[in-house]
Amino acid sequence: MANETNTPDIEDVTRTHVPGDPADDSIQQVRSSTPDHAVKDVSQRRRRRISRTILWVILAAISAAMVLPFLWMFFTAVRSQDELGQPNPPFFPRSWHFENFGRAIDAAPFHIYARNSFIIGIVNVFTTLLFGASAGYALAKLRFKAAPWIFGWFLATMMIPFYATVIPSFLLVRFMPLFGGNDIFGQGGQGWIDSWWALLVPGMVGAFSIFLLRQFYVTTPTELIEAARIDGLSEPRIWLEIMTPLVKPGLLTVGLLSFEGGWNNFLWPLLVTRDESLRVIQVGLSVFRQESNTQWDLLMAGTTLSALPMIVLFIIFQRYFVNGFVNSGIK
Amino acid sequence: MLNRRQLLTAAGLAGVGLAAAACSSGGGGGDADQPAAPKSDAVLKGTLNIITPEFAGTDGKKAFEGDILKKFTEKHPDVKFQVDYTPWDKLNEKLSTQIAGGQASDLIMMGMGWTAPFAQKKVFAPLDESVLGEAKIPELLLENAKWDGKLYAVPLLLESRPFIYRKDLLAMHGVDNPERDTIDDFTELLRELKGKTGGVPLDMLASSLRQVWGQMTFAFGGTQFSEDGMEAHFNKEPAVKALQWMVDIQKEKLSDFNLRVAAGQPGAYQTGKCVIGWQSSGVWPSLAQQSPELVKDENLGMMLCPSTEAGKKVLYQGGTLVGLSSRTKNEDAALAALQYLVSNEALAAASKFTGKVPANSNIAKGTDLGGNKILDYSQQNLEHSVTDGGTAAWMEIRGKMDPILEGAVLGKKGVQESIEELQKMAEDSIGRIK
Repeated sequence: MANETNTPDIEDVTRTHVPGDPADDSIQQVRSSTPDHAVKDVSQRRRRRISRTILWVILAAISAAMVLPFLWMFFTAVRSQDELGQPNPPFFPRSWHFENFGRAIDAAPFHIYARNSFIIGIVNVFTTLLFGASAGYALAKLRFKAAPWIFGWFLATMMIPFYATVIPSFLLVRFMPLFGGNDIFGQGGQGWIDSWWALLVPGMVGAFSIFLLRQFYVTTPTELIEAARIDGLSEPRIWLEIMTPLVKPGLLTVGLLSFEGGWNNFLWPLLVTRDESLRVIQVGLSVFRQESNTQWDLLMAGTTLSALPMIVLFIIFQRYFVNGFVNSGIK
Repeated sequence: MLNRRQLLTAAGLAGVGLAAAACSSGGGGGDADQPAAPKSDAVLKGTLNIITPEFAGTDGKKAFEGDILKKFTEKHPDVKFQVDYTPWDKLNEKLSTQIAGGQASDLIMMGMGWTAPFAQKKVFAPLDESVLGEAKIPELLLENAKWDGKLYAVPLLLESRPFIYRKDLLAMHGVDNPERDTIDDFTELLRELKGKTGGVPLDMLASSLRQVWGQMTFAFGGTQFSEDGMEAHFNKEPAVKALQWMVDIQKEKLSDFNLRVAAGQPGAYQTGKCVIGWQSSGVWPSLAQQSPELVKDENLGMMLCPSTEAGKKVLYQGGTLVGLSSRTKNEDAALAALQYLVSNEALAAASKFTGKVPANSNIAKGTDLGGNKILDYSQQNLEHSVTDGGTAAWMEIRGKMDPILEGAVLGKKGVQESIEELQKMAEDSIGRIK
């Protein structure tokens, strides 16, 4: 019995405990005054340590599995031709051929491709945040009858694969009136084909970004909007100055995903451009894949270089990125 | 279920139909049914758009625009070129969207077997055979470039697939020359080699099964389609026997589908697991760089695939053809450029850069084509060329063949059942274009 061993009654302790009171040592007494609790403490600590070790081992194994393809990509990029010709090459290259990176860069005008991909990525980020945040806010917080229907329509468009919409999208771009020599009916010229318009406009905002940002705005307190209205703030200012700062993790998540989409875009830029000065980095990488041959060392060198910006961005923003998905309820 | 490529192709070809119907008069101003012939007195000028899966990258651009096309523009300074380099694996998508948008390039390079599907959709203008100039192109390849009896494209560069063999390893097992007169003799040799080496002797089924079956159907004396391309011959005796042969050599482990590797990775022949390989001339650069010992004359031998008929050989050809868009607004210059591209001078330069076999057997023996021995050998044996395709429904059919053939070769389905499935699939596809 606790009372028989001079230990304070547990109910008594909880009743009289005052947080922050230096004179209150009842918790200490509960923790350390009996051998029973000491043994329990030790076994609990040991159990916690074991479970934490197991967790670390599992996480380390998963991390290794995630990192392994990147390591293999890098090692393939610096392998010799001799090793590439072996059926089972060693994990670590025997000789390191960093000149493969130079050869890969020389194989195509990657400075132009990287610049174009960067511009597309950056423009995607700004336009997606602008249009996505405003649409997401409207769907989440502004009361109008069509909101659920419009949201449902956005969700429905996410279910149509890109390959099913690529030709209609191409036709829209091709027959854009008054551009590229086209008349008012979209005839006579090439519209936006082979221009920055075709590369930038279709990627300005996507249904997924609107959906993601709406989920963030839904979690923000509506009372703030009402208070701001009472204070006389205009609707655009409520959106921009009061509500949008509350969804920063969402903005970072969507921004990162938009940049990634723009940077890694391949098929659309290939379809709508002819001129090499408008081609993007992923199209450049296809140089190393011929009909019946692939130059793995150069392809992996080019892929390593093209993956670097995304890896760096993810490392910088990973906390926000993960939080963003957790908060939006997607994870 | 349609995969994404089939989905796009279907949508693209539907668009092609619409675009072709809407714009069937073409841009050339001539009669769309009359074969286009080069005019010697034409004034050539303007910008020509070429779409090509070849010559990608800095070096490719230098070879194509800085060397091959430059020689043309030196003779015709008022002609300029805009080249659209598109990788092979996205060429169909690019062509389909371009054509659906009514925007086909003036000259279109594409793959073997693609001519009929695009010609049927009126994407290409028919060509007068005078466009070939002095080029001598194997008859069967020229047939593959025709549709409805008219020439619609010209074969330029070929990916030949002869057998190559390890002289050193075969000599160790007492075989000096593995060349045999008939398929039966060749199969017997494979059994003998398996007995002696204990391993899989032939690296063939690890390649595209569609292409293997295509070649072997010819080797067994058949064709894949009727002359007009409106009837599949998949259930005829030669095609059935060809598939049975593939299934048998897999069962006996004379060749093994499971030795398959990704393109560019060392295959079973290169790594010494097999002593005979069915290799594309396109693998030469990696073979020569990664395994220089294998390409030495004392180690490397080459031969053609035998057929059921003694002495008759076959050589499978994939490759690149060039066609004239029916919507070109600059037909004279485009035709002149096409004629130039198939000339000995341009083809030899293109072959040297791409490592592919020039489709023109008129190129003088001894011409420097870059030292690719598989290419040189194939060039000397162009008269044995065979290829698959030959129907306007080919773009749909070809994508569906490999999974069915794989099921047969791996024993998941019987030969007869697979043949029936292939035949039905082909009939359905052809039925859709009738």
